[in-house]
Amino acid sequence: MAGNLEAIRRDGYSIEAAERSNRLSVTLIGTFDMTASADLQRFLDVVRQEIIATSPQQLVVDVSSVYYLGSSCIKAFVSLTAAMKAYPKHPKIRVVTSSRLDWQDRTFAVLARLAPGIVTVERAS
Amino acid sequence: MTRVSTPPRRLRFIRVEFAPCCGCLGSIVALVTDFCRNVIDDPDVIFAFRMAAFELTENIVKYCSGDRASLEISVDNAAGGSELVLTTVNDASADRLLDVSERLTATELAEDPVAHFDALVRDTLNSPNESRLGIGRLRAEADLSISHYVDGDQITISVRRRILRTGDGGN
Repeated sequence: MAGNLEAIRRDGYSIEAAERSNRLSVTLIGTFDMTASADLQRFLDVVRQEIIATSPQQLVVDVSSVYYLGSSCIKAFVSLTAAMKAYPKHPKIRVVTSSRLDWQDRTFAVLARLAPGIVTVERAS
Repeated sequence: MTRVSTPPRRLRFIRVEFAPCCGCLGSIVALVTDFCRNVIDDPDVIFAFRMAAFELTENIVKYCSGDRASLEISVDNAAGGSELVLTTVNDASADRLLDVSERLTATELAEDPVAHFDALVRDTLNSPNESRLGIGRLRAEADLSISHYVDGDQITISVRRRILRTGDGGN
């Protein structure tokens, strides 16, 4: 657990975070439809607060085990990205996708277009 | 000369009527996904319709004003080839119908679906209680064609995509 970021584990999805060496890592697993959006929004709000409190150099978001991400959950990531774009000491955000799930690159590419130079989308090695 | 006629292809569709609620979401998405897997072996197309089933059914759960809605997934065979088509029908309030109809029309007519979706993404920051991204991503991310019509207090939304390879689907 990183700071106040207590892991969320529900039937169908989980979200957890870890902080190490100036890097905050967030890992999502499962299906994130409308029933997951409130949890995800709350979690990413705390991620934003944690970044402001600890100023990590990098935020790694591992979505390689996400099987679906609905539009209400995309909005949660858009809100975090916009907040980081406006925050002067923002970390670099690296989104890690799966090479087996092509849709992940298309879905998360919107964050890189929203905040070029801050967000990169990379496939897991 | 003996004339050989090709037997007409069997209709392939599933139609469900349901009471909109969060609990029905997984079942409906599974139904659509299984149907697609049965008629096509392209994971990209299957995921596109899975996304459409999620987004359209979620919209129904959130905004339907009636106590029932319907969804149909079908293969439409035309002279030019086959299409997978997903159609939803539901009632909604007059205000909601006006709003969604305007957004659907803008998405349907957008010359650059990705640029249109990026604009919706920037706008979503001004909508505290809803994302308003679901319809836009069906064109931008899933490469689906969208059409709709409103009849009274009922809206019908269809998304479709040409398919090249169809499985036998048990036919």
